[in-house]
Amino acid sequence: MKLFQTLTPYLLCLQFMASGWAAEESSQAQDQLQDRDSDRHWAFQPTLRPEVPVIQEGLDYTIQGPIDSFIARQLMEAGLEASPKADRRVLIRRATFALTGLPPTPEELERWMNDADPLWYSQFVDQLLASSSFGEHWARRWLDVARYSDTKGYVYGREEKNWPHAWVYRDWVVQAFNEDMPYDRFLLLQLAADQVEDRRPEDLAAMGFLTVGRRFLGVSHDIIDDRIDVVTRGMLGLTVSCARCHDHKYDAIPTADYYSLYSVFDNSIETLKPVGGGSEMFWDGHRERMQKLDSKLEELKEEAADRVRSRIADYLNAQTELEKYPAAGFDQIFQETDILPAFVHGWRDYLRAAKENEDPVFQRWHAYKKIPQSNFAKLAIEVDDRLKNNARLNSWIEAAFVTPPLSFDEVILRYAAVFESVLEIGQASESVDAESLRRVMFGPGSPCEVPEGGVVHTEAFYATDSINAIWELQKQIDRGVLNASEPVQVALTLQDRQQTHDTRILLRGDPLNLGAIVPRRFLKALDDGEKRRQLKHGSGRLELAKAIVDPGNPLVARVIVNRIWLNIFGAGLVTSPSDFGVRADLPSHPDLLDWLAAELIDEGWSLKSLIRQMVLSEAFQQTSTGPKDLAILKKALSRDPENRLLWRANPRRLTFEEIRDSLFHSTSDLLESEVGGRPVDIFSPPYSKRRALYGKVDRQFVASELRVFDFANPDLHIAQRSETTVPQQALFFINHPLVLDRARALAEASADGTSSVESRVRDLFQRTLQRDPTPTELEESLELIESQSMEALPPPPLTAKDWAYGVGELDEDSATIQEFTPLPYFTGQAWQGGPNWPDAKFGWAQLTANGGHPGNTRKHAVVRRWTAPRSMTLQITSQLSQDSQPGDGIRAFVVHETEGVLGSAEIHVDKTSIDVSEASIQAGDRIDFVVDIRDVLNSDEFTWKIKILEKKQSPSEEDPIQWDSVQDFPQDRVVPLSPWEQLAQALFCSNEFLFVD
Amino acid sequence: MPPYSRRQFLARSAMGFGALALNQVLGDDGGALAADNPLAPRGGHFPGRAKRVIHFFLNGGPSHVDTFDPKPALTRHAGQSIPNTLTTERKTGAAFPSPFEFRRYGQSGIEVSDIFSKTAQHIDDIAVIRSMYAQVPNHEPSLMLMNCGNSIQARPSVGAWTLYGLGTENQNLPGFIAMCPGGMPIKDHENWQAGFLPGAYQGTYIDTQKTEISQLIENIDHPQITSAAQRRQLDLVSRWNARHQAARLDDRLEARIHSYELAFRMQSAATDAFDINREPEYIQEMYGRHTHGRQTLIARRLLERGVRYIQLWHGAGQPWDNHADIENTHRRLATDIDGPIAALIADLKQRGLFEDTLILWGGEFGRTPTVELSAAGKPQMGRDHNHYGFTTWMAGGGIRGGTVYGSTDEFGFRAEENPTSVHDLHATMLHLLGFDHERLTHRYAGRDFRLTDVQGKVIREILA
Repeated sequence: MKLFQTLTPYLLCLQFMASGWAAEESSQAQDQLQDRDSDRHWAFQPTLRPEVPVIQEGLDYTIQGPIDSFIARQLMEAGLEASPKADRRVLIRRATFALTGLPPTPEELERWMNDADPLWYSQFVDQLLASSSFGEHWARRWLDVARYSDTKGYVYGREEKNWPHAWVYRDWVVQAFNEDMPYDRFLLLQLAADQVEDRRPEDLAAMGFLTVGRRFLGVSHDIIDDRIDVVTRGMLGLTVSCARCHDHKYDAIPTADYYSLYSVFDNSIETLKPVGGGSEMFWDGHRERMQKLDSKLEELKEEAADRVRSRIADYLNAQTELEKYPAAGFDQIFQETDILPAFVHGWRDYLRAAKENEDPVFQRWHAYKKIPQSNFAKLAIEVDDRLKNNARLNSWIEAAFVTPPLSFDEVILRYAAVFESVLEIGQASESVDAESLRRVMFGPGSPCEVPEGGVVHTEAFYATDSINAIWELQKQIDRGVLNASEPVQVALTLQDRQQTHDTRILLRGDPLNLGAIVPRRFLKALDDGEKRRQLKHGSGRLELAKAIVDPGNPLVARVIVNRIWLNIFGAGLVTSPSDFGVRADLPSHPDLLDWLAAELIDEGWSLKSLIRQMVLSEAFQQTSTGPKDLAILKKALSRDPENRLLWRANPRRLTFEEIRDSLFHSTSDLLESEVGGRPVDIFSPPYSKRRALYGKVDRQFVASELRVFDFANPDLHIAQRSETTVPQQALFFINHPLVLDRARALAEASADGTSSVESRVRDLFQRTLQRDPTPTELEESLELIESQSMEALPPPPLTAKDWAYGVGELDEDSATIQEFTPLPYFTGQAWQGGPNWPDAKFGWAQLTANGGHPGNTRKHAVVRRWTAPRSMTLQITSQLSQDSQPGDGIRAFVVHETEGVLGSAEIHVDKTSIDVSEASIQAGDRIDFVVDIRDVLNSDEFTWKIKILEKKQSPSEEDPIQWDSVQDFPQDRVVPLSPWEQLAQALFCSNEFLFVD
Repeated sequence: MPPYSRRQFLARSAMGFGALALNQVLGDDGGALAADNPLAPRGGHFPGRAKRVIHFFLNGGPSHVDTFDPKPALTRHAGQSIPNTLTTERKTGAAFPSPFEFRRYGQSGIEVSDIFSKTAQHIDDIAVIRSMYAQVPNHEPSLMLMNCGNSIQARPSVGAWTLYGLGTENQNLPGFIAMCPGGMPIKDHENWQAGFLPGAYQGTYIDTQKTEISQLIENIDHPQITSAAQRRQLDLVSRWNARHQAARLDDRLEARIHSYELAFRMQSAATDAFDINREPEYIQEMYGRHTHGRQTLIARRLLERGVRYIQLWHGAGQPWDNHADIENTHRRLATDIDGPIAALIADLKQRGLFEDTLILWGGEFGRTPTVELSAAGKPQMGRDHNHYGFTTWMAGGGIRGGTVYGSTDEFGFRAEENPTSVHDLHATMLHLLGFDHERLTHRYAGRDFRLTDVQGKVIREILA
């Protein structure tokens, strides 16, 4: 059993295969079986436009358009009936959420409720489609598909963890939806904007689709796998990634097809491109930073290649013990003197290709390599005889093998000697034999050279210190963009390699187990068997994109129609939105799916018209409560409990984004007019009023609020969010500071001081539920208001009054504090100079419960001053820490006003205790806890938690007092929710707020 | 009842409406609420020997040759290079004997190092697996492998799978809790992720360095309203919601009404569960009045209250990653947890919980028997990562105590006898919880995934 040799994560997929297979060995029989399945499988059939059924007149169905005809036909066939039209209020709320992710405002509701035009509904829908909120809402649906995140996931400390380009991609998607970009172009740009000639400059951002995935610690096999997955499941509804290690068990996707796509992405390299924004000064700086990295990479590439060329014998020798060189993902720390596995594997691949091409340079190498060591000398002579007669050979090599070698080690040394002599030929040689040897050593394709590409593509070819150095330069580029004073738009694009290379199948997904070279070509399952489309131009990415959006591709339109349908109707026509393979269930309405797909293509791939058509259908407009007649309802419930035939509308729970946006919308605080921009923190007060779409998505720390409400896991392509109900969601509504903040705001918004309590209750209901309260609800609300009273504030700890917070200077000679000045401003969390920090007068001086920051010079040390309320013996324990590397750390002192310095420390990225075991104090004595900047003002933030404990002198004494600098620090006093605020919160907690009928 | 399938899940939760509303309309008995709650307790494929799990995660990689896998050959070859030095993350040099004494303990006479002498008092209840192996000598992939069964891809953690399979006994507390004092381990939340399973199965992280209960669990505290006021408020919500539901066909509405009641109760239940001051003095003493003692005691209170799966991490980052001066660093780290582990075992026994609680101890890999070298070739008196061979141990529910399973080679570099993969460990854990690891599956991206994927074999030899 080979236990340790390799990392083969995808070995795991073996469960689908009987034992003893290899990717290239899948049986003929299974192939045929799959092909037959694929031939018949509905999703692979061409999308023809089915006839729209004619529904008999006189039946109880309203037919708004073809969608309703298809639905009515199947309902009739099942003996079921549709539900009546929902009332206008429900419909307005439903459509507004479906199209914009927001509730209607009371004014909009009022307007449309009273619109007497029989065509009001289509006008209303058109208005929603035209709002910028439409694109924001639908972009988020696509971002689930695109496993969008603003961060890379886990990276080593040397690498920046935020993507500099993610939000630019997000904004591009919003814009694409808002301007109704044709869906085929939408996909084309996301795959190959770099090669689409009539693109706009900002369209480069589209390629974020490929590049906002997880970083996988830079392991290219996994980055590429993630891209294949998001493209094939996201755009085609095909689970191609299942074929990474073996042929797909169910679908006609051989491993070779996976590696065809792999090759497309392996031949594409990441390039950061400017898109817009930023000042000239910024871009000058940016170019300079890029230049620095490029020169460093150039320099390192040259050095690395020289080192390999100087150690040919070592690299050739490594080929005889490949098991010592693990694949990427097995990270080792290297020095420049080490043999680097990346080059060893480069040589391995080069030699393998040379063998297959019968390269004259390596004919002898491969012939000798086959012979067993035990009988080497004898067999080497036979090899020599055979080669001389049959092979094309290289004269330089032949000269080295005039006498047969006695061992393979000797073969290595002779080859190495030949290459050493080649090194002296600096330039292209006229001799064919010399030139072919020189090309092994130099130039594109040489196994001595570092391949093309930036840090992420080449880091494995350097020693660890160099890797750290180039990441540092890359980090400066990324941080420059991320921290620019004005938003700067960049795109992380893919570009084809200048020198493309062939890619081999990795048997069982194992990068150490190479199979045959695969041509780059489109998927067999979607192609005409005889005429497989080759992806020949460069990496083939543009051709791949064109094949995907080809109207003849049976999947692309069906898949997006189903995704849209799912988001409008709450359930897909196909229940597995990202798997249209043979294991997918039949669509509930196959003809309807095909008709919509054909319609989408014929309408120029307009997603807005597709959505419009769905929302205008009667199926969308019916109630969610089912037919009124109980007998008919019972029949529907028993025959089609899952409502697959759409005999009623599906109610749905709001997503987290919709919940949060509604909370702000209810107080008219949501910034709807602001579209796009860098991600913001939406979970810390003061709360951002931007839409939740703009909240930062950190795949490494997905906010618990998001997780609790089933936000799409940004590490994975998510076809459909889960919809769970757990008590943590209820805890969010009853205790989360955001909800409390909004409840206060809502109560305030509803109070105009003049209106009656009844009209205030009415206003609260309108703002949250878009309706008036019933008389009972009004009564209940007023009861709550009357029963709840404000409660008294809990008192602050008695020990709090003994502290004061200020700045001063420690005079080291007298060991006293000079010019103690109290800090004048309290933020609720900190004492500082004023509302702005730093303050013009007090600078950076700040004291918080846990620590603080000294003022700008030694004259402005921060002083936490304690005054003894009575005479006593005390003990002090304290923990001091300072965590930031830049600068020189801080100095801290415990100073008694008469006894002088009781303890002190100077620390830098360290922690320590400053304790005083015993001190006798008179009433009114002061002890100051002083921190200054040491010598340099730079990153001097510190924590210092101090406990002062009174020592009990005799058992009869009163209980000793303990002071705690954290507990005693003033807190922003919590004001309890007022009765009106409690009522506002209750409305947020209601199911009517959270669910759309 | 087996856990619901993906399809049922979608049918029930996302698209249609389920049995409850149906039953109401048709006049049958309801009682389907349990099925709507993804955390409702349920049984496995067969009755499990263990009902709950506690995993001491010594993040960073504890050295097996300094703890539970004695290697006298290292002493004999001290300072000499050993024949089969394997490639690891960094360069290592000569054989480096353990600075700690090993002694035999218990009836079984299993040898344990002095730095775990208190845990060793319970060795007859422990099954030591000395032949574990992982895939690469790097923390990140090895953490993922140990926690989620796959070193690269985002996959559900063992705890998430356990909740998926069994639900949890106490609806007032999170079912899967990961505690780590002072911050997070490397890979942060990924260690207790739900992957493609619903978010409800993800572990809840708690920073046990914090001592105030209101800071331990999110949204558990309601400082802006009294309990009485909140009760009146929720009563009103509940009346509204009941009326709202009566006119509708949607069982999620009922589940959500229920969830408010749970949330209300959670506020006091969680406060109680995390408050170790409610323990008698002698119990607090037994665990130790320090972070690890407190964390372990909280864990026991949680286990007792029906929390299904608990991970106790040693600390932020990777404390056990002792590339240098292993003598002092390992001794200090072991001192942190040796007492609390021994106390937990004794305490679970006296409460009758030991028999059905599975205790797992270990890191993401072990350490080299050879000494780590600096870039200049100087011995650091520490050890590099070693994924070729390491030790974990299990005790409690269904485990045959006093057992040693498998071994490493003479020096402790590589698993030799009965090599045990992380998948085998997972298969065994699932078996003890009542699952056939090949049948606990979830449909995602076109196929049925399982924790052990295509591997894993139950280690029968350590089962009671």
